[in-house]
Amino acid sequence: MDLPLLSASFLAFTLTFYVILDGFDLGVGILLLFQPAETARDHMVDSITPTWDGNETWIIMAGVTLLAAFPIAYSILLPAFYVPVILMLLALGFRGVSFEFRVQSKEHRRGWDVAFGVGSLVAALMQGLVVGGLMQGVTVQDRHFAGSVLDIFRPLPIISGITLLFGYAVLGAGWLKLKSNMSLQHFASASLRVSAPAFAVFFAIACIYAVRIQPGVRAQWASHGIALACLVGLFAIAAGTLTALPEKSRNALPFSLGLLLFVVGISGTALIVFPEIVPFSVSLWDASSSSTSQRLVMIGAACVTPVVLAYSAFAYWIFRGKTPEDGWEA
Amino acid sequence: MKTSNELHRVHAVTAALLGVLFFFIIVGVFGLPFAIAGLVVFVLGAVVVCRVFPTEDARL
Amino acid sequence: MKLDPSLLARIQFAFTVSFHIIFPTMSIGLASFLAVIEALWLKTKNPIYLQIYRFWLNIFAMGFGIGVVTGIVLSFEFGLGFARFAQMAGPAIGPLIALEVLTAFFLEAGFLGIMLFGFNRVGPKLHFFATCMVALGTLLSASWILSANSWMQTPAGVAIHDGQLTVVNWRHVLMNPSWPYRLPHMLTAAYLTASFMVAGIGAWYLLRGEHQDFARKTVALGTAFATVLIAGQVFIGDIVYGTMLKYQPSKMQAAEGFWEKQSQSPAPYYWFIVPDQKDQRNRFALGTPVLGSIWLTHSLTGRVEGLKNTPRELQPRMALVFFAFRIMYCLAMLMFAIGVASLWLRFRGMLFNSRWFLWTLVFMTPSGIIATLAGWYVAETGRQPWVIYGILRTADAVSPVPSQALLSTLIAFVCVYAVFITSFLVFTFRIIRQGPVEAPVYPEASGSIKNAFRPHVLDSPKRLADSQFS
Repeated sequence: MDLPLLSASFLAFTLTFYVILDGFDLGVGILLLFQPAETARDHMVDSITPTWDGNETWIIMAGVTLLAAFPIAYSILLPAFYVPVILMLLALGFRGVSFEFRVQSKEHRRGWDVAFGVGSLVAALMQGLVVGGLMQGVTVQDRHFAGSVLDIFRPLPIISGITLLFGYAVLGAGWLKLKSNMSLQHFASASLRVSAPAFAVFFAIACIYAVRIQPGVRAQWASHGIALACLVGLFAIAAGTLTALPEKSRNALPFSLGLLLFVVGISGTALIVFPEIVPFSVSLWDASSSSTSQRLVMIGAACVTPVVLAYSAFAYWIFRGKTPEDGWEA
Repeated sequence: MKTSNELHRVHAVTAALLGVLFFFIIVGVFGLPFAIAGLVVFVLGAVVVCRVFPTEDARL
Repeated sequence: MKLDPSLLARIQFAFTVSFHIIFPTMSIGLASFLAVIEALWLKTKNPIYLQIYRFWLNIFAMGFGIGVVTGIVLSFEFGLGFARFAQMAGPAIGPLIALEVLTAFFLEAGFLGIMLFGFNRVGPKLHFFATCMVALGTLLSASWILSANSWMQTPAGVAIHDGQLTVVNWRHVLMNPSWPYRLPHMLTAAYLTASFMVAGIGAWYLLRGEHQDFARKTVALGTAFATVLIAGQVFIGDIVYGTMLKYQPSKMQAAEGFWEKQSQSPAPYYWFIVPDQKDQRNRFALGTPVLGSIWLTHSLTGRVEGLKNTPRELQPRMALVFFAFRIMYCLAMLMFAIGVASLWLRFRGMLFNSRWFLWTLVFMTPSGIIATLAGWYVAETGRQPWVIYGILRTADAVSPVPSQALLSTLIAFVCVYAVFITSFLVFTFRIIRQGPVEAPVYPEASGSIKNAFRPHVLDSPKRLADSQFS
């Protein structure tokens, strides 16, 4: 029983769930900035209000799993990404409170919507920054972070930030096509037509740039070339299909394609990172906590996660179908 | 003979002193067994008072 | 200006965690209160309970949201500010917090949506179940995090070789010596907070002659709960005191304000001191004679142990611990007095008509929050200079992050959180000014799971008729 491997799989699982679930939440938030009509904005927020909290909880799960199972990686990565993580936390904070505060205030609703949108945008950017920072590599000395907190503000992380921004916009637009009524369909389709190709283009630039500046990435492409090439191909096809989708297409298709894009992207990233957890210096096994700790996390995860998934799915099911025009209280 | 007002004041002071006594007991000044007993008596007494004495209509 | 990163990291964590704790304290208390109210509504069908529920649900939702986002900050802040602590303690508290997320956070979050927005999508019984699940989630959350923090206070179940912790016994880690007492203490604090909040707002309406039914009900419920709870809290508090006296003597020595290894006999109870940590004495002290021996040693002549019993480099700062403890304890005494007064006033049929009492309730509205904060300051400042008592010092636990970064993020947190709390207060006051609205009585749906299959109870004739009146 390779506990570190198992723990890393669970970590990857929680991160994937987070990116997909909060991805569309943040995506809707980003798109909010481009929606001038207040009732339309209300409708957009209504579509994510009942389930956003559960979605966001997956990032806490990921962070805490890292702390519990790979404390050495946690203690290296968090100081390394100090600035983007704190900015992300503040941004998520603004996004979170805006849910409640915007309904309390008629006069300042626009202001809170901007807070909501900017919070979502900054959070997405910062998350992308962290992914890029991981690819770029972190300076480690003697199992402690030894670089500068400003290392993150270099081209690759910045490009990754923009990539994720468009990626979340794709997910958000897909979600809106699924959940919103007629008036927003047009807006959602327009958003898709812009964000899908942008996502693909920036993703490509990020991949190429990563190969150029990080020998670790080059090495992984060399050893997993075929698999990665297939993933790239799949990504391109999905992105192309999304861009070329006619307006009247089936409601679930855009969101599903968006999900596919993310699954492909995450798989590729995982292939490049594995078996390190702090690329490219510290392996999973080196960063691991004691087996007693990992064992407890895995037992807890194995027992409780199915229950969590079940009632989370139930919650989504309660709020299934199109979001009501007049909100949930009507 | 004490007037009604004075009687009420006596009652109030007695209640206050009882309260102080219960506080000292529950905080464990007389030991753990008394603290537990004091807590039980106080809580039961509170429940009884809340149930037996109906709250009045507000007249403010 | 050269600022010590260790001090900045501590100030930042202290600020974010102090701010955060305000909200879960309210949420834990209000969630259970809401569950009780909804149960009463389902049982008695009295619309006043639905009115109370909807009013407090609004405030609860806002507080819960702020609690969640400020809480996420903390789960990362261990690593951001105290990476060396995270690396060492991760194996012990990491799994505890992971289980907190799995069993509690997801539970609250999963059912919160139904609780807040599902009135028209599910029947009353399933909605009540959702409320109960949220309340249960807050309770479980408190249990796990108290276990983690208690482990930091009274570590157990771990072995150390060259700076690495390995857990050897999970039962000892989870049920460490102080947890069984600190947990009920915190839970009761949360329930007390909610009781005084509810009673205080009700008292405000009574004083203004508004929303009489709502006000009478909430003052009655709030004071009743508060009375029973404060008795329990004082009892548990004394037990926590005894436990910490045993496992962290330095904390209780600092809390009482005595310096000498053995105080005079009988010992006074100090209400106010001006301590001088450098000279290891009090420049000024105001106390009640003999009361110290009575309360602290349970005898008339006992001597109290002072802070000099702890080596200087291991002493917490007396000023912080002493005043935090006094604030908490004085509030506890005040709460107890109010509880007794409320019983007396009920007996005399004067509970709703004594203006002095109602004003007291209004001023006591935030008392639970202040007392809880003060208590946490006792716990955390009293544990210093340790972050894991007896194992790791706070100064050795800091992240390799420069002071400028810590300072700028501290300022950012203060600014952003200021916006949060200002908005929260503005909106809460607005909700209070608007008062409870006439709650629509929605149809007697059976509340079975079957009803969840029919979310369009909206279209039933009775529902349409009711909506004419709301």
